Amino acid sequence: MVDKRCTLAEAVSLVHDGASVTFSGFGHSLQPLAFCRELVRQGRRRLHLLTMGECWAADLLCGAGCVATVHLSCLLFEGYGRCQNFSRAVEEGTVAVEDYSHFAITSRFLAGALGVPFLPIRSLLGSDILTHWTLEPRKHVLMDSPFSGERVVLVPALQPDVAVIHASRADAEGNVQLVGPRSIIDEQARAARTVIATVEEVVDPAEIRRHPELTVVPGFLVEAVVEVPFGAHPTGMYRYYDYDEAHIAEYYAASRDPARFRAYLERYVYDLPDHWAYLDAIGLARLLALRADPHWGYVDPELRRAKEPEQGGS
Amino acid sequence: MAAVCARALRDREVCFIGLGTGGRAFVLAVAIPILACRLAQRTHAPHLVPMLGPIIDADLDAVPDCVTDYNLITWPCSAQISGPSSLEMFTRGKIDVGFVSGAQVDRYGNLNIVAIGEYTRPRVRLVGPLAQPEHMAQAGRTIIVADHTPRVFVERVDYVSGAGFLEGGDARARAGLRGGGPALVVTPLAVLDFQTPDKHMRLVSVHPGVSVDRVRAQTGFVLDTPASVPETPPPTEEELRWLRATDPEGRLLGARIT
Amino acid sequence: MGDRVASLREAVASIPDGSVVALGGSILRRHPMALVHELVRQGKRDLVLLGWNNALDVDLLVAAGCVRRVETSYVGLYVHGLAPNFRRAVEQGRVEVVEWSETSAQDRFKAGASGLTFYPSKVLLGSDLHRRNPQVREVTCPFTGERYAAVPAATPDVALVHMHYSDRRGNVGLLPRRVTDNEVDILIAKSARRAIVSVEQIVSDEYVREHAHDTVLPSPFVAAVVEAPFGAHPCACDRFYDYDLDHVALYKEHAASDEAFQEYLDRFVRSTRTHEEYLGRVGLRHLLRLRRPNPLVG
Repeated sequence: MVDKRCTLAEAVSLVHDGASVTFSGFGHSLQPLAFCRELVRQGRRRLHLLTMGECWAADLLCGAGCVATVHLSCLLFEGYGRCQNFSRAVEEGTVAVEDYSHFAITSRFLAGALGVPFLPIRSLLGSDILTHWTLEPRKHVLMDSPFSGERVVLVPALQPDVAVIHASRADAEGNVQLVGPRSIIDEQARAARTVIATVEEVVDPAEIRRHPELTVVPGFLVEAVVEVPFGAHPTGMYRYYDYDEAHIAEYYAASRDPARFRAYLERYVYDLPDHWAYLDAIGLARLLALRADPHWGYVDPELRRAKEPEQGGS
Repeated sequence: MAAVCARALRDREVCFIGLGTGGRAFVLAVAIPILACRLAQRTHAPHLVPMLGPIIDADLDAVPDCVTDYNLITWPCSAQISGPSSLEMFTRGKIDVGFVSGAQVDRYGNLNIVAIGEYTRPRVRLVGPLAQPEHMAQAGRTIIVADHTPRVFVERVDYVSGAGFLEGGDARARAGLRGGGPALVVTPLAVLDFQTPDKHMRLVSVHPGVSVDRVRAQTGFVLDTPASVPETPPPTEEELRWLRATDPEGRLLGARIT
Repeated sequence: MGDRVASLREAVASIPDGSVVALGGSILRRHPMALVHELVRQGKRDLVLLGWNNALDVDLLVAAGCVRRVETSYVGLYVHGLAPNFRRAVEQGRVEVVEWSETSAQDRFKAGASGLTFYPSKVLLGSDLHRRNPQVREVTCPFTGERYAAVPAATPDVALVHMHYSDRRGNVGLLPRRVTDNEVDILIAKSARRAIVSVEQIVSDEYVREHAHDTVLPSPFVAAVVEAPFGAHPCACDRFYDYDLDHVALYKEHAASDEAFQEYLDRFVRSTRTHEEYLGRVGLRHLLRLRRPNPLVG
């Protein structure tokens, strides 16, 4: 049996300067932030981010100066506003962007996953996405369908160097399981040349086989598996823990200003040797208070209403 | 009747209601108690814990149409405990108050659900004791809900399946029974209790429109009647509203639950 | 907060010195260690401990000077051997012991849980557990005339047990796939005047209602519920986490002498003001390694 387990530091070393990377997640969920923090710690540069809505990865990495370009459909800090670090980097000219619609960029990943050179879509017709481009030498081709004659837009396949997926659990062979909404993990994992999975828990193959329907990425597609409990913090993991509202607010406030963001990075990334130290910094009481209710899959709304966000424990 | 029963329940009590009869017996032993519990929860006893057989803290707004097994198993509640464990609730003294009923009720609140007439050759053979013995022996107190006719209210039951105050006085204590005994009797005509020196039943109030004479005539023993008998306070607007909310189609009171 | 939820401190503060305290769990499984630690923190004295099979829960309380008498069938550290503090204390006459067998210890809780005052038993007849224990009487069966030992019901002032989950109203549940030896905890809780239950997680009413058949202690039996993740540590808690054998080895090392054990108590119990601080002392990374696949997921 192949054992694909490695440490977070080892997994991060699979991402080189200048690599094209896509991350799992959406809104304040499912984002491999322990991995991203380690990328920052290891000083990665000139990354090309391929994103649909993975705002955290984009904002954190832009704020840390790791990013050269971003392909995106939407980078929004849900509930708060624009991604501050990302927006500032674009406005200052340090990061170049290529815009798409959700469906267009997902179709690019899908084409990459299917192994076809392009896919025909209608979504971009009539929008400035077709008339403005920055990075892609040939962003799209307009075509009349040879079958029906209707106008379609061909978008080219996207094949990231690396996809980093944070999921519920995996076995040592790399069979990755996820409970709950997936965003576009299926497309991202199958389009990428290398797939790295960070998971809340590594379990025996027998556990995986008990619920085969939960497998989102089969082991033969996965290069490396890392067990990273609370690896999405401060975003949430359905059925494991909720997002950390207080920490998100702290992050967002810091992200409004480069000096404050530098201080945030020092406190939560540079001054800490690893993810365990990060979790100690967050504090056990806070982490335990984020645990998902087994009915709701996140913190019981009754409890959330009764508690103040700052108090961590019961 | 449901409103009177509800007023007799206290917050945070565990209240037992047996399940599993039909027809009129269902109305007396189950429907009225369920309505009383739900009314009590909505008014003065929000933390009252009803226990319906082995089902603890059932959602009384979700009474199923049929109490068949599937519906019992899926009835929303906090716990469905084993049969033996539910009986232990009696022996462990965890039932603060329980609703009971009977084919016969006597002057001292003893009940009979076994046989009418001579026990070895009864005129009417009934179901058998069920859990009435432990219920009446051990519950903190019981509330008797029964029809009010001379056949029901007898001088002495033909068979004691549920011990009330036995022969009266301190007979309960002498027999080693732990529970407090019957506290209240609620019928379609009147409210009665046992707050007399030797624990015999006495009239407390008559329902609006019912005369004292009628109640005495419908009682098969000489009923201890105070000089002045008040009228049972009828359900208030609020109480009526809550009662209708729990049983809007009259499934419970119409014994349409099978 | 909710009807029955209490902090560890509040729940234990309600236990007076001299109480008869029943402890759940068996060997190195599911002893209510978070509650036990708090008994030590609050300096409880003269406790009478009842159990059916005990380990570091009793050993630690004896070492901390909290205990007058112990009544159980076993006090030991399973694969790690004898319970050193308990052993020393008994040999030096610092604590009384009353011997029960597994069955008779459980029978006492059965009787208490059922509201009876004694339980008839054959198992003690002839042994010194009968002859040298004035609490055990002899009775004759009124039907057959056979001799029985009558063991007195256990009716502890308070029971301390650790279980899986509870809603805020105190309906306590256990996931069905679990070590069934510990079903006795249910009897222990029911036999007590008051049961204080620590749980891995306080959950929504909805979850309890969906699993009503897994509620083992309905709220009428629960005086207080305390949320204590890893609340049995270093003991195992069914499918949540296994024994922390490293920590037990460390415990045993310190238990080699009274002085060394006071160091253990100072480091892990007295200098930690809350259960979270205790867990922090053990180490988050270490604790996460003890976890099994999350039994509350999927």
